Amino acid sequence: MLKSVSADNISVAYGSRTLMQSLSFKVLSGQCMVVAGRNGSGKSSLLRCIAGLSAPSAGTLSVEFSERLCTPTQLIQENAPPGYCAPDLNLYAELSGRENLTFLARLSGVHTKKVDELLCVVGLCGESAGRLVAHYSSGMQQRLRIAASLIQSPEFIVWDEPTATLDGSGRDLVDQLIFEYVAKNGVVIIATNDASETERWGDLVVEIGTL
Amino acid sequence: MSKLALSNWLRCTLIVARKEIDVELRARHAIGTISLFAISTLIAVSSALNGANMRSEVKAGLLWIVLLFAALSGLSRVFVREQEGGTAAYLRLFAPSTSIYCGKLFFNLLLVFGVEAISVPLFFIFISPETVHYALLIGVLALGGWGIASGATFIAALIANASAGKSGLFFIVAFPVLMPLLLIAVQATVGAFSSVDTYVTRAVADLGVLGAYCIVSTVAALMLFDYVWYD
Repeated sequence: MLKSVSADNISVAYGSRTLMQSLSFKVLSGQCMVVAGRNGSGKSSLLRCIAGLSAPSAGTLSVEFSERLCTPTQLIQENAPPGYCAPDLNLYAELSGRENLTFLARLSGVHTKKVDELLCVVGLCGESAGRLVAHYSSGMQQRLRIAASLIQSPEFIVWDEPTATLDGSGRDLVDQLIFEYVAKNGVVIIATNDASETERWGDLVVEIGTL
Repeated sequence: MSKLALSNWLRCTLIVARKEIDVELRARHAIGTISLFAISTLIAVSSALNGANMRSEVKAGLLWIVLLFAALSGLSRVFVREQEGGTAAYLRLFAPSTSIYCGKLFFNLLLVFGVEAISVPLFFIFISPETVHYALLIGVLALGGWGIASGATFIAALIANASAGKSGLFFIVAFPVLMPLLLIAVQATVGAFSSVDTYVTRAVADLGVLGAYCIVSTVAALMLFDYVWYD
C-alpha cells in the first residue's frame, strides 16, 4: 500500500539550465500536492522527474510503500508506472481512441474491458471512441490522455495542467477524479497555473520559479 | 529470466510490433518511400545500362546499393516518429525497453524483407544474372536484411532525440556501422551469382561472418538500448 511520495533536496535542470535547487516535499497518501509557478518555471520538468521519465540532476525522489521504498523510475521498470498525463504527451493519431487505450492496456496486462469503462468515465464512449485520434479536438485528446493515465489504476497520479484544454464538464470530471483519488488514499501531484484550482485541490502547495 | 517474465516480455514485444504494423498500414510513412526508392533506382540503373554485360561483382554491388539505401530511407521512422509525435513517453512508461527495441526490430525486419521481396524479382527482370545459387542468395539476403534492420533500428533510437537534422545524422552514423556488413554481403552475393567454385565456397564462409555480425549487433543493441532510450 502506498504511504507517500517524497523529494529530498532535488535539483531539476532542463539542458544546461538549472530550474530549481534543493526542493524537498513529502506527499502522504490521501493528499494532493499542487505545483504552482509561472510559465517556464520548470513545473513540467519537475513532474517528468516525479513520474520517473527523467532523473533529477541532484537529490532523490522516493515512493514509499508499506513494505518497501523505491524510485519512480523503478516503478516504470516494474511495469507499474504512475498515472502520468501532460500536454506534450500524445497518443497515436493513426489509431482510434479505443485502439490507443487497448494498446496500453495490453502492454500493461490489463483486461481490455477496462478500456471501455475508462472511455465512458472520460466521456468518450460510443462513436467518438472509434474515431481516429487525428480527428479529435484538443479537449477530446486531453480526456483520452487522462483515461490513459488511469489504465493501470495507479496508486499515484501526476497530472500536468490537466484542465488546460477542457470545457466545463471536463473540468468537473478532473475535479471529481482528483477528489476520488484522494478519498481512496491515493497520492495526487498536479501542476497548474490556475489559482482557483490550486486553492481547491491543494493540501500542499509548492511554488516554484524563484531561481 | 523466469518463464512468466519471458512470456510477459514476449507479449509486450509482439504488441509493440503489432502496433507498428497497424500504424504503418494506416499512415504509410515508410512503405511508400522504400518501395518508390527501390523501384525507381532499379528502373534507372537498368535503363542506363541498356543490357550491357556486367561482371557478377558489379551486379552484386548494384543489388546491395538498392537494398541498403531503400531500406535506410524508411527504417529510421520507427523511433523518429515516436519522438516527433510525442508518443515515446507512453512507450517508456508502459513497455520494457528491450520489448520496444525487439518489437521495432521485428517491424523493421518485415520492412527490409518486404524491400527484398520487391527489389530482388525486379533485379532479376532488369539485370538478369546468368548464374544464381538460390539457396546461397536467400541466405545472404536473410542475414544481410537482419544486419541492416538490427543496426538501423538501434541507430534510429540513438538519433531520435537529436534536436535537428535527424535524417542526415542517421545516414552519417549508419554508414560506418553498416559498411562492414555491406562489404561482406556484396562479397557473398558475388559467390551467389558466380559459376566459379572458389567464389561459391568463399560465399558460404561469408554467411558465417554475416551471421556473427547479426548476432553481435543485435545483442550489443539490446545491452546498450537502456542508455539510449531513457533520459
